[in-house]
Amino acid sequence: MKKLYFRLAATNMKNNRQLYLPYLLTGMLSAAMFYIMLAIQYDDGIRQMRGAGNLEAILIFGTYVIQIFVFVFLFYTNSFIIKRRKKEIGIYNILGMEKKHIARELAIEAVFTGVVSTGGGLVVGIVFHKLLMMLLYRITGLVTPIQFYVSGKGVFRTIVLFGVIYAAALAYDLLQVRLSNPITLLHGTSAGEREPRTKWLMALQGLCCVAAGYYIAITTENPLQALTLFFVAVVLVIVGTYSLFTAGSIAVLKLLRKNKRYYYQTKHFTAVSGMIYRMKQNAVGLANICILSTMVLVAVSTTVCLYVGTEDALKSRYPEEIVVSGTPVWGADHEKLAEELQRTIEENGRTVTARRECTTFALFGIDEGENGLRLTQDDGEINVNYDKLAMLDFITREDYEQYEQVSLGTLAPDEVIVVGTPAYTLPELKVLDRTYRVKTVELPDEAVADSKDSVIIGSGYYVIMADEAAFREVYEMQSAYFGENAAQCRYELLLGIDGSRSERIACDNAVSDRLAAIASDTGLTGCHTVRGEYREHNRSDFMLMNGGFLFLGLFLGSMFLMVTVLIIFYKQISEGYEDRERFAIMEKVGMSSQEVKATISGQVRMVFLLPIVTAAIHVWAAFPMIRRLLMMFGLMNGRLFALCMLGTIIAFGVIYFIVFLATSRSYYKIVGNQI
Amino acid sequence: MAILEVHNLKKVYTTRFGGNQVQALSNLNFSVEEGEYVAIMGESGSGKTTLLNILAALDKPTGGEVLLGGRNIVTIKEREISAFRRDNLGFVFQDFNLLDNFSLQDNIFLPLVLQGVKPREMEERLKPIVDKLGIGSLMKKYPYEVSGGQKQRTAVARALITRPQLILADEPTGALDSKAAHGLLRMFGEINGEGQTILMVTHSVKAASHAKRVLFIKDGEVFHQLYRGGLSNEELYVKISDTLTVLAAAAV
Repeated sequence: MKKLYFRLAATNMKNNRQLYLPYLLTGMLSAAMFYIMLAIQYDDGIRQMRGAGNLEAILIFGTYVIQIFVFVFLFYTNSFIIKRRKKEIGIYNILGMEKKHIARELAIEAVFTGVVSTGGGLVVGIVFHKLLMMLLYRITGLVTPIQFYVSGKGVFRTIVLFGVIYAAALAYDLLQVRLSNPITLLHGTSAGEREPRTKWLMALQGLCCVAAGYYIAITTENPLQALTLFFVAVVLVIVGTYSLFTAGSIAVLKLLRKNKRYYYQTKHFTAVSGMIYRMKQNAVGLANICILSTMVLVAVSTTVCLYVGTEDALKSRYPEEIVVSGTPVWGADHEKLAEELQRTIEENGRTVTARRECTTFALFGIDEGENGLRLTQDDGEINVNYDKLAMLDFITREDYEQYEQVSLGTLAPDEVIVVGTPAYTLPELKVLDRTYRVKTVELPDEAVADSKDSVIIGSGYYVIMADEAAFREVYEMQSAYFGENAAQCRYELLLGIDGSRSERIACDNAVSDRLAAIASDTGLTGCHTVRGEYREHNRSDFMLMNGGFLFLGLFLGSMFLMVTVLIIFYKQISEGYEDRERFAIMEKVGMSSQEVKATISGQVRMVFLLPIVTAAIHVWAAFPMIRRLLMMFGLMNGRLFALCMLGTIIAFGVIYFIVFLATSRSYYKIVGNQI
Repeated sequence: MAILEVHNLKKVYTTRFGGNQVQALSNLNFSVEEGEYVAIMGESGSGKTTLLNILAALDKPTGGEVLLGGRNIVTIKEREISAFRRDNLGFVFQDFNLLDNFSLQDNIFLPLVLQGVKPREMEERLKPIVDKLGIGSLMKKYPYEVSGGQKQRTAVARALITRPQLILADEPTGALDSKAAHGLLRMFGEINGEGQTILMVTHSVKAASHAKRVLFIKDGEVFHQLYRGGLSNEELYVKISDTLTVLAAAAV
């Protein structure tokens, strides 16, 4: 008797291999991916590395996402398969198999599926672990040698997760069998033929949600606010997408149907009614594809952009190789400091290729429209007014000209130039009790762009003062006014050097040592605190973080892609079975095979385009917001992001299209039997 | 004038690898006059379905010809065949073949839409037909919301609305209860009374007894035929039964 169950289970899975094979394969791949994620995370080599904390946090985050995701979609796939198999189970039931026998057979199948997917996945994972590790090291620029090893903890957690998933799936299947009688089992697959009702309210709600999400994404100017609102927008758009796909599509199609002139045309007649019917069955599946596609596009394009833009981010953060800042400003011998450092650099065999310096202090201002900016340093006030917040960098004309390599002409002591975006248009600038006339000058775009780049809040300006006296006057005025909260004036020295990467690192180390000595010997330069930052030192940190993000983006991207493929495949199959009869009838009633084929390909194309086009629109709407978020990671290059986005969309579109063509063949095979 | 003429019709099915040959129709000859109501009877395997498929231009014969309104449908080009079918033939099937995603009205409109008829004309044609069939109030309903009899009437309306030369009915009462079957057969009688030519394939004696002429097919040939003459339905029923008994006896 026991043997019989095994044989039955084996035959079943063989006969349903069209359904089971993709299920097994995805289970296996996700187990492999999950294991690899864990194994990398538990790798001692990575843990001991400098700055690996960020990378580890990124990987842990990835593990959570995969965990939730794998659970949801494997469960979904399983419920799809059991729905398709209801008829077969019904027949067993009628032929005299008791429910407990069916349960036993299903249990054998579940154990088989679980063992094969998890075991196979672990094998694949262990084999490919090193390869992916190499990929990760490569993109993060790590050079530690990689040993082959098997992570026991990783294996354990994978087995636990997938054990739980397949047990839950089995429980669901058993519940389905238990809850139904043979007749409903027999008709299981053809249930639910009713025409869907129009849910106007839901359609409207979907429209509102998507519109609200788009509105937030497009209008949120402030990157800090964007961070908090991003998830709100994402949730709104996801909810809206589901509502629009389920209710909105049907509402639109029904409106089309009401238009007799349009509806009663050969082309539209079958297409519209077919779509109404099809949307009811597949709206959720299409919405899933849409959301997943959006996720792939966003995850891949942003991480690629971050990675490719690492150099940009580094340059914007550290305009030159060495950035030294020091206080106090007055009473310190900056020339001496620069000389000391330059000597150190030259002793190291390098030449100074650029030297720029400036003295600045920054105040916050709240934009009060016609009344101009009201300066404040109160944290409470600053935190609630992000979108109206402006940062004012005070600088002397001389410093600015030298720093940006521009010429501004002369300024009267009561005149200022305000550079920044959005452009400052008022004729006067009030700084506490003093009022300055604003002089307008034409500046090259790069200089203006630079001033915006340095801040991530609403607006940022350079306030250029006539000379050091005027500059110092404002500084002392604000010191007295704000007291404890007053802005600190800072001297900044930028030094560019030549040489290869390792030469520069060596030089950076020497400068760093020299700075430490200078800092401890206040008498030498008069500087109480000096701090140095080095582009090359930070490059590895940037690479580690951005590379980690890229790795995760590609990893999750391929996972989402895999699931998208799986959903498209199952959708095509289920639609094929449903459409088969309908097209057979249409042909009997007098539709030619050409017309039937045209209708089929029309529908197939519509279903193909709907999710991907919607995803592209979502991404387009999200673009401004993600751009602002990227600014927080130091990526200011909007064009680069646009290019990455476009590239990702095109690459994804091509893959999606290939997958679609391949799965369409199975659809046509099913439908085509009749034609 | 004969609306349908079938001459020396042959159909041989060959199994996939060319091994066995099965002769479904050996040498079939008959004709149907305009305004006639003909029932074709025969046991399972007698070639009824093959004949119907050939008449419907869904299948090609191995030999012989079928003339519909003087035109040989065997030689019609593949690309024209669907248009020919929907312009000249109306179908009523055993299992209705209504589309679930269309309302009854749209199901009836389907062939007209394929012909490219204007919506206003479609509605003008619809009214008298559905009123006569007694389904005028159900037009907004969907196939799953109505009874089998109502579904079959909808299918009849769909067949009639193109004003075809010939209606082909394949076991139209096969899926109906006796009351609905009776109603449908009466309807067929009325439609025929208005001049519509009907060819019905059935193995129900009851259904055949409503026709004006009954053809019996056996082993791919016309074996016998009965004319109603002045007989009532009940008398014809008895004659058909007797013929079937003889037919069955001859087989032994």
